[in-house]
Amino acid sequence: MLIDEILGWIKLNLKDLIQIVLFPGIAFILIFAVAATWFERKYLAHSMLRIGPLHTGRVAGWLQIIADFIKLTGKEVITPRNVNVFLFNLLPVLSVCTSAIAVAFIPFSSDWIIYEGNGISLLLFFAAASLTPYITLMLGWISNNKYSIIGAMRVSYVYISAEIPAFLAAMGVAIMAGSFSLIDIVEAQSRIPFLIPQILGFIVFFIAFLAEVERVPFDIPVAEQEIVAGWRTEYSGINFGVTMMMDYIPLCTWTLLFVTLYLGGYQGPLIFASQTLSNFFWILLKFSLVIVVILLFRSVFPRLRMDQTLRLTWKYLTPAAFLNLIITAIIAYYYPDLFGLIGAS
Amino acid sequence: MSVIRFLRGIIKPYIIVFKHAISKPHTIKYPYERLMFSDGYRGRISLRFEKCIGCGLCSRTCPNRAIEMVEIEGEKHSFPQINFGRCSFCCLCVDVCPRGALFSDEVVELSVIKRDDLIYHPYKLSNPQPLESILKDLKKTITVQIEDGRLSYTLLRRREENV
Ligand code: SF4
Ligand code: SF4
Repeated sequence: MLIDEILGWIKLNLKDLIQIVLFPGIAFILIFAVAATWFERKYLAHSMLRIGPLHTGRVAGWLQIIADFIKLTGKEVITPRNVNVFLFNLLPVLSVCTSAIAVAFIPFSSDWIIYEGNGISLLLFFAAASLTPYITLMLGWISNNKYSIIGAMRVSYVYISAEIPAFLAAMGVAIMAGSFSLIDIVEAQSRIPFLIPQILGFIVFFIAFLAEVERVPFDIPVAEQEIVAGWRTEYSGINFGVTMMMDYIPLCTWTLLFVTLYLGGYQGPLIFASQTLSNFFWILLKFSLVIVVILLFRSVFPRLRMDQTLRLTWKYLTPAAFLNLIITAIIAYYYPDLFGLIGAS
Repeated sequence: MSVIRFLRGIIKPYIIVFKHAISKPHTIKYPYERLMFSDGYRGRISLRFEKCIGCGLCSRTCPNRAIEMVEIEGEKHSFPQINFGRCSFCCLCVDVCPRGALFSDEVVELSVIKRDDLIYHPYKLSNPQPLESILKDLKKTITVQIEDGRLSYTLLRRREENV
């Protein structure tokens, strides 16, 4: 009886379950985190003319990440004195969950999205993605360590100062598409990706989202040379492994949003028989290209100082994003036909 | 102008690093591959036992007093014994030897577990261990060449030892 009911329920919700568990849900994010860790090591090694991981696993040391993971699970989890043990162990897991939620609003095809968000999925994305820094802040605070608290403070500084220009730049896109729904935004880019009409917003958003995902040159919160490992200093063993994943999950979600907003998301010529499959192909291709571009920054650019980052975001990015927003709004109000020319509403 | 300079400062290093990322690495997989150095490389010192006349010049010229002349039973004269723990690989002993009995090769894998093992008796000196038996995993040797002032690695088979 019960089994029949469960099977019936599964059959009814099969598509949702696949989306949540496999693609673009949990499995996709975890595989991305593992693959990106491996790829970053190998890729950075090659960019420094080294070889990188080699021994574990036949092809290019791909098992090295699995080996590291097993090593981390085998290590002792040390909890510092005078911390709240429950929260200390809960927060890393919680931070991974909250940062992974944001992927639910990204359309991978016009009918392949975990939650459509009643036409405000862009706002929901920002709401979900902004939860992560709070948890990081708590995580640093609770560690009872001066490096952790400095790292956590830096997270909040960088995040707040980068979130505003990113949001303002994304609003330009929303005005052009005439909707907050990410599906509508992608559909509006069927002729030209918003990269071209929104070039100023594109640049602002790109720099700002690098800061939000703590990539070089904005990896100030975890600057190894200054504050050990930033907010994750006190974590050890598998907790450390989970916090390391936190490097890659926001990278995944924000890059997907970037691709969706400016590079036409899943739009692309039909290459497989199925429309959905070819949509998957295009969004994953664009996603991988952006990731390849971003990961290389780590071996090219030095880290910006805190004050340089704040000056860049508040003094240059925010006004530029406002300018972009105002220009877009004026054109949208007075010359709405111009948008029609490029296919947007 | 300054904007263009600023953008160039961002884009140029990026392109250089990207070119590196898709080019061949400069490092090699050491225990499996090994760089073979040029002919005059000063590495391990070995002895041609039958050529030595026991003059002791090598022992006298050695700046680190790494060479000691030792008697061997059944031989008429003494032979050099080198302590590689003291040797600085200056090859003065090679240069000074009147019979050309000492020579150096490109083997640098001399590490041992006990310090005493670094003292090479004349017999051991005259039977240098081949590279293949020191690096058991060695699959490929790579010869270094300098072309147009740039270091380049040419994949060649290991040169024949001219002993
Ligand atoms: S190479 Fe130089 S230091 Fe070494 S044994 Fe010969 S003379 Fe002495
Ligand atoms: S190795 Fe050469 S220099 Fe040394 S004792 Fe023999 S002949 Fe003389």
